[in-house]
Amino acid sequence: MSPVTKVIVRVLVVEFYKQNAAFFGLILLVFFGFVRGEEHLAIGNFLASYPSALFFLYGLWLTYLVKILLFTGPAIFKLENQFLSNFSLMPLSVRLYSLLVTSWFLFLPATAYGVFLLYLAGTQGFWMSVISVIGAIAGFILIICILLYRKFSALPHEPAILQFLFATKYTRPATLYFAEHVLRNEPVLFFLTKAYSCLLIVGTALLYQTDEFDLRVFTTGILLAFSGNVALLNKYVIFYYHKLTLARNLPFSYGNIWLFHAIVSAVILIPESIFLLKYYPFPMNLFDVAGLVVFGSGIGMLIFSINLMKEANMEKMMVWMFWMIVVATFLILFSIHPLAIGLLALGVYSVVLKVRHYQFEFTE
Amino acid sequence: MLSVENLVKRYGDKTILDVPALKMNPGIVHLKGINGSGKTTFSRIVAGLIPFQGDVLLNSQLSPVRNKVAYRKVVNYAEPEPKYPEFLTANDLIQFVGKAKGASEVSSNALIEKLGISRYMYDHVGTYSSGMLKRLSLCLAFLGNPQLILLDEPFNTLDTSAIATLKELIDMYHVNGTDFILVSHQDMHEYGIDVNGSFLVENQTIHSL
Repeated sequence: MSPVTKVIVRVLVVEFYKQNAAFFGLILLVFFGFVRGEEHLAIGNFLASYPSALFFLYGLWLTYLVKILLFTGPAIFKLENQFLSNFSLMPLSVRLYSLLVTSWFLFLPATAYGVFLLYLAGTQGFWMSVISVIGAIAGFILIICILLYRKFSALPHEPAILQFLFATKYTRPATLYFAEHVLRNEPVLFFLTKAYSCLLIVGTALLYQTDEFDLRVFTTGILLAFSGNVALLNKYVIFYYHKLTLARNLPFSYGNIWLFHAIVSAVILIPESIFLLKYYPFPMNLFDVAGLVVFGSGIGMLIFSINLMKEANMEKMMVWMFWMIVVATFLILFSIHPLAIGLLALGVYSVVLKVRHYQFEFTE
Repeated sequence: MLSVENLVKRYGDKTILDVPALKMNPGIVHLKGINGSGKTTFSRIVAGLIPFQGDVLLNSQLSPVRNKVAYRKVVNYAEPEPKYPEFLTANDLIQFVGKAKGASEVSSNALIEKLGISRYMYDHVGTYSSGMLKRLSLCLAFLGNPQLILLDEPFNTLDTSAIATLKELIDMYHVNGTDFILVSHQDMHEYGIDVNGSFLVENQTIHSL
């Protein structure tokens, strides 16, 4: 390994594995502790024999790739790594070699599992799977390499031309600040939350292909799906009241603040609302569907209110979340229409916001 | 200009500030104190950013507790170490705050030019140096028609030209009737600013010097 490659590997690869030691420890525990050898083989054989099933694995690898990029991007621009700016002065061949080795080392855990699959697919003659896995490993490593190359080539204070053109023509609406913040800083949390809640909505809706429709059961599913946004709404409260501190020095009326938070929450809950409108069971009428959208939004605002009451402390909030779900389930079981429960939740939000907006203080 | 009645600020059991009564006359006031004395906490209270017990009255009329909107319309604040979401641009923030504070486009543009922000107006805030961030926070603090501007450690991280510009802005706004509270451990005379009164934050309270 060349001295240049060694430095890049130390700064990016070693630090990446150090920082994620607990994560990899957990993966190893699951793979070599809970899952037995025969089960490994069964899963591997299943994946190797169905090339389309491999896309599930590639989805996991994509999540891992995002994890790598979330680490490497900021790491390159860390103050102590400023010396890395000299890397762009090296010959192209040296840079490409170093980055390819670095990318491969970063992707090593996925590559190791890929080799295991290649062995299983190769010995059984599943050549489509062999080609697919080799292509995927090479593709992922190449993507990491290209993105690292771009990061190393960009000067930290040089905005891209497109970014500059966009910024001069468009002023961000304040109601979209949080959506952009979460997509930039917490993409994994965002996508996992949305995957959980949307799959829950689809799963509950699909019950009625075989079962008799019951609005109460469906509403309970919606309750659990929208409650899944607890971590996102917690991030929002911290963002607005802590990271965007200046907002509380601005002369916004109570109505403005009410609407602002409601719009931001509605933006966060767009995927669930779309899935609800697309997959609602056939026996439901539009009034019930509208009621469920209000119900879901009300649950979102109720979670926001709990954040305000409990200083956005997740530990303290969980007890309240539990009681919120218990009370909502109780009301649902007694056939209170979701629209009424949703309006009640919005009423609670209105009162809590009035009392707590200027009283809330987040301390780290 | 500003009066304080029974102001108490606590974090848990720890009292940070306990000010039974305080009156600051109109003009440019200097609030001094050593690190950790509670200067920034006081300025954040006056800016309406954090909750507290008691009351603060601007010109014997407006309170951040009772006149939430009207008070915040005329009280502006610049933080000692400004931090903003890194993906926003100066333009985004100036538009957002300017609209809320009722600033005209002409006055906003004049401030942008004067503080030399135009050259990085459309860059992400995350790429700014501490001096650039400070200029932006000062620009935001002068937007609209403020009656009181709180500047917390206003000269930190500014270069000599920005210090001269800030002094000019303070003089200009003061002539037009805006009052200032300059929160700093530094001597304001070093920067050629004549203050009308000085206050010291010590032992969890504030008293006139």
